[in-house]
Amino acid sequence: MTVLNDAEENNKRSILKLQRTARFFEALLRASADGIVITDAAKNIIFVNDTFCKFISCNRHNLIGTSIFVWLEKLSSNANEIWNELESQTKKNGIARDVEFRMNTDSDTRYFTVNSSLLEHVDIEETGLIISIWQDETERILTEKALAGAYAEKMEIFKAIVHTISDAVFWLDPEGNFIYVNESACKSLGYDHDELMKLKVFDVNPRADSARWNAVVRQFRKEKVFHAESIHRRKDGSEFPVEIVSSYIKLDNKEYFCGFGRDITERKHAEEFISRRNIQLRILSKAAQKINTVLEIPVIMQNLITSAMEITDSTAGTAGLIVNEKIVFSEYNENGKLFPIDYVFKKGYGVPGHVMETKSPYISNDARNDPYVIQDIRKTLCFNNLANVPILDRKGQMLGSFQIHNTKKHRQFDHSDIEMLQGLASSAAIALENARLMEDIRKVGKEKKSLSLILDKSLNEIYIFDSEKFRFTYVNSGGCKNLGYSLKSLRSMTFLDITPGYDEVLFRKYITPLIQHKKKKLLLYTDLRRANGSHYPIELHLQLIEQEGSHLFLAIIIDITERKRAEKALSLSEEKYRTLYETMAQGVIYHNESGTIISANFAAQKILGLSPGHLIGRTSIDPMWKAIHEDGSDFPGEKHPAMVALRTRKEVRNVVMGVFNPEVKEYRWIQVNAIPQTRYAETRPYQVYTTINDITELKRAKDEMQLANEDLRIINKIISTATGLLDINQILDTVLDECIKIVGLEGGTICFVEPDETLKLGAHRSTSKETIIDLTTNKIRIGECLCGAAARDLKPLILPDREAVIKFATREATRKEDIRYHAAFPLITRGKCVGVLCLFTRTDKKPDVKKLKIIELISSQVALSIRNAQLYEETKEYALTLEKKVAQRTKQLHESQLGLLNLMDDINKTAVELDKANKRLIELDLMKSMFIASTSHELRTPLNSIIGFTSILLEGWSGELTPEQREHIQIVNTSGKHLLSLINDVIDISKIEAGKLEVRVSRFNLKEVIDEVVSTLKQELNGKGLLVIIDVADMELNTDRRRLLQCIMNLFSNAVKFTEKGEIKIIAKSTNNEIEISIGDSGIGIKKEDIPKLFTPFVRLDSPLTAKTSGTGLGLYLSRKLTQEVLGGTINVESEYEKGSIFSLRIPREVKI
Amino acid sequence: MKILIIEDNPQNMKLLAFVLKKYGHDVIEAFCGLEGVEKATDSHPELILMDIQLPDIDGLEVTKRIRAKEPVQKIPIMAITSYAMAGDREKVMEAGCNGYFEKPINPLTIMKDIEKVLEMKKP
Repeated sequence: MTVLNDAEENNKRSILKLQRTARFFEALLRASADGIVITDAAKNIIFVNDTFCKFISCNRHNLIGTSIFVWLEKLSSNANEIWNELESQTKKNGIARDVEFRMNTDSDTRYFTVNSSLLEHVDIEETGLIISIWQDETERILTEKALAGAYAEKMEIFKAIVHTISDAVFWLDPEGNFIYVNESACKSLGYDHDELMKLKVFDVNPRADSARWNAVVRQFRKEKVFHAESIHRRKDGSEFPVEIVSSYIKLDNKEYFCGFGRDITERKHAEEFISRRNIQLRILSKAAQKINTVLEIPVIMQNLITSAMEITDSTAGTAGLIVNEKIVFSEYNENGKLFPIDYVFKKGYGVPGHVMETKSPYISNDARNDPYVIQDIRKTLCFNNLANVPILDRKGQMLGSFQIHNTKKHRQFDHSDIEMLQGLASSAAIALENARLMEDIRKVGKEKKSLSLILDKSLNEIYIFDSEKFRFTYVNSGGCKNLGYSLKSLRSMTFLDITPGYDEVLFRKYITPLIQHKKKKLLLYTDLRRANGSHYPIELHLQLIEQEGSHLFLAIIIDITERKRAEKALSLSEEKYRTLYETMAQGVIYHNESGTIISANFAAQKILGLSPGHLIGRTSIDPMWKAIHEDGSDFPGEKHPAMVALRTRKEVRNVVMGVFNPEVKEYRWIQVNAIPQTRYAETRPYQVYTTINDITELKRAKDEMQLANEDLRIINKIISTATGLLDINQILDTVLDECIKIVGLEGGTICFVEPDETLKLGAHRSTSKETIIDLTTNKIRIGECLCGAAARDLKPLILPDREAVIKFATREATRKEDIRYHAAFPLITRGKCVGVLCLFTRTDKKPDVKKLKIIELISSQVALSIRNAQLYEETKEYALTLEKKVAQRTKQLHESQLGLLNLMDDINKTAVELDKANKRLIELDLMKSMFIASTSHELRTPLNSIIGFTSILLEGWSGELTPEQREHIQIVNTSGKHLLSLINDVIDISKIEAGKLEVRVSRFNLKEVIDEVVSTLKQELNGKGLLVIIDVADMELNTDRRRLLQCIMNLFSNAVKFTEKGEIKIIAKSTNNEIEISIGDSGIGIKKEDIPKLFTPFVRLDSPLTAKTSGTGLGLYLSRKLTQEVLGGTINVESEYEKGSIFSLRIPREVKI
Repeated sequence: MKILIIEDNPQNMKLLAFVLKKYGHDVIEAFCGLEGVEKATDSHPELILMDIQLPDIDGLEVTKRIRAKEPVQKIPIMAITSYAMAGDREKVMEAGCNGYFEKPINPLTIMKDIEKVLEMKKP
């Protein structure tokens, strides 16, 4: 047997304990997904779990007992260092956290995070054991790295792409700092790369500030895409308009905003130009009509001025005609008001004079400093810039000119203004020519020859034909020449023969206003046919003239071939802008051979409202598009132009589709062309490119225009009615009637949605009684039957035939109705469905799709009205309820108030009473005290003298007394004493009753008191020959001595009084805290029936001794009172008539105050 | 002994004076409080018998005044009264009286009673 010393023994025991503990935890630790190792102070592994063994692919047995270093070294070069660090930290702090290890095993690298702590045992303080927990982080770390790599790669590719594109690309962080900018961005803003990177978005966008940027960031986070027009400012301070499309990207938990900016200066200019152009062209054609349908020269000039002012948006203008080689301006139009003026210019004088010389238009954008401008005139008329245009006839002769001015700040007049004005000028020239011609004709009158002379002079073609058959009576040389007919041949032809565009019916229609003299002149455009069959475009001025009593038509015809050509050239250049614009706005998408989108240009993204990420990889069959036809029916993916083009290998053009744009959250209409592209020698297309044009606005405009005025009127009526009413029933009735009228059906219902998600029937027309009963008693739930479905899906449900209706109608009553067409429109306001409007027919009529659209348009308005009416009802009800509640509460309050008031009243009254009572009591009390005091004093004072002096006399201090004198004085003395005792008793009783009896507690010897009592009545005792036996122990009492004496005295004197012979025994017995003093006598005793009367005041018992004895009748009453009130005890009596009595007084030995 | 009696009722005064003289003491009579204080200071009695109910200033006040005067401070004062209220005794003793007797006094025992009280009070 080996003997181990204590320490070793202990150690061994400790280790055993630990091992047992370890084994206990083993079961738990074994299952752990983390590796667990316990090492001792010598760095040996004493425990290791399965997971750790797996980590380092080693067997448990090989691990336990060996140093951990051995294993760490094998797996990683610096593992030992790290372990030492871990150990020292654990020893110092008790724990070590998140220490990272990397282990290179045969197959791979693994990453671990190790947490360790000191392992302590209850019995042993320092074991030096460390438990380390190894978490395998490999997966996480590798994934992170991969992701980081992936992102980094993507970033690189992205950067490579964007670096060279022409659009500016910016990457911003949430604070607005530039994280990345491409070359174009730098160029467009005029900064170099480093400069720009130091800036923030606020520095380049004058519209952005922190607040706006933050708002944008917020929107970004929500919508992920941002698209707007804005302004950028270059380094030199100049600004230009941009279109920005940006997306929100989150990488590595960091937010980025990636934006593409495109300089849209050109586009904006083009837009402005085109819009201005369109306006001007419109005005121009209007002006031409105005000028050429009047005959009076002054009116022509006035119209000219007003048109010129309108076209150029100028404030003033004037026009003048050349008379005697001078141009005279006699009328001035300023802001629509006409003023007479008198300015005459000759060649070379002023601007008009200058124009007379040059015969070309003149612009002055700075009239003040213009050498040609007559400054006096300028000051008078106050203009800043001007444009003067000559009116030239076909021969190039100047007929006059007109001038427009601006007095307020105005854009510069430019060449396009001049073009417009020149157009006006040529119209005016023609009009003036015609007017002059007419004047001449009138002057000439009937003379044919002169007439033909005049007419032949004109450069225009002039035709005169009769008003009935339109046969030519005269054609001038110009006309004959151009047509290629001789006058003779023409005389046998009619006007209609040369106008291929008119037949008799049409022509008569046009000329009616002339014949009816409603118009003086007509301006028409058509073609003329030459003799050789060719056509040329003409402007036709038609008038009615009278000649030799008959009505004839005078047609002045202007060959506008040249003009048309010029116009075409003009429109071509417009076309250039338009094409540019449209190209910019045209979206282009490429699909591969299976129809998958492989790329989409910027415009396509914008139109569809989708980022490249959303587009690329999708096919046109993807339901995400929610594509629809114009009539609202679903557009199946296979029918998408791209798919069709792929299948048919042919171009597909002009397909109109509606696609849902998630950015603006509405449907956009697009016009799609799909062009398949095949490679050489292949049959199947390898890709399709589709162009998409957003035609939403166009379509919308068309749609809107298509709404007849009548429809608009009805809509307005409904809307104004609905919004003007607050009574729900009225609204429903009115709306339903109008809607039925619009669609031209005969039946309809309106239900509204109740809070419990059922539909309540409101208005109804042409609904069978059965259905009404059914819908009222058994309300439709949302989702049920026809209207329920619309309410659920929040979109119109159109069932175009009986079968469809029956399919959807779940209610028996509805099925029986034989409805052949049913349209249900949900009435939605604020995203909430408040009701359903159903329109139906039992006939085979089908309503116009456009009419249904109208219903849809107004449905939201109706919904709003219903909601308002409902709210109104609710509010009314609530107000009523509130009113009732308030009234109730007021009443309650009132009642409780009254109750309160009454209570208060009572309380007050009682208080007053109490007060009075209190006062009375106080008075009473005072009176009692005074009574006692005065009684005491007044009654006693004389007695003092009586008793005092009689005592002196009896002592003989005043001299000898005769026996008789002695006897008499003795009587006085005794009476006095008697009276005194009476008074004392009365006063005592008064005091007791008033509660004013003083109690004086002191310690005294009982025997002394007894002795005093007995000795006081010694004389009487001796006189009667009575024996007194005293059996009183020597004891101390702590109570009111005086009163005790008084009581004992009373009892003893009674005993003496009522005993003739025998003895009186005074016995004092003490119990715990009490003392009983009994005075027994052998006197006359008391009858049983008299005992109750004993202690009552002023009652003396009838007895033979009554007359003999003196007594007040108060003695026992007072004694009992005193005993009870002062001494805290009782007096009792036992008596036998003629045998004797025992009065016992029992009191506590210690009186507690 | 020189005894001062302060008593406003003449009959009571006569009684007291007669008794005290019978015992062989000298008696000084004062019929009101102020007279009592005066005679106390002037004649320096060895004992004062004083009725509490006096017409001008009451016995308590008299006591206070006498006790306030230097030479006569220590003269024993016996109060005689027919006041029967609680707290009377205390008031009297507090004021500075040495003893308290209730009327009617027993002329035969008065002196003994006074001596008893004085004895008890002797240090």
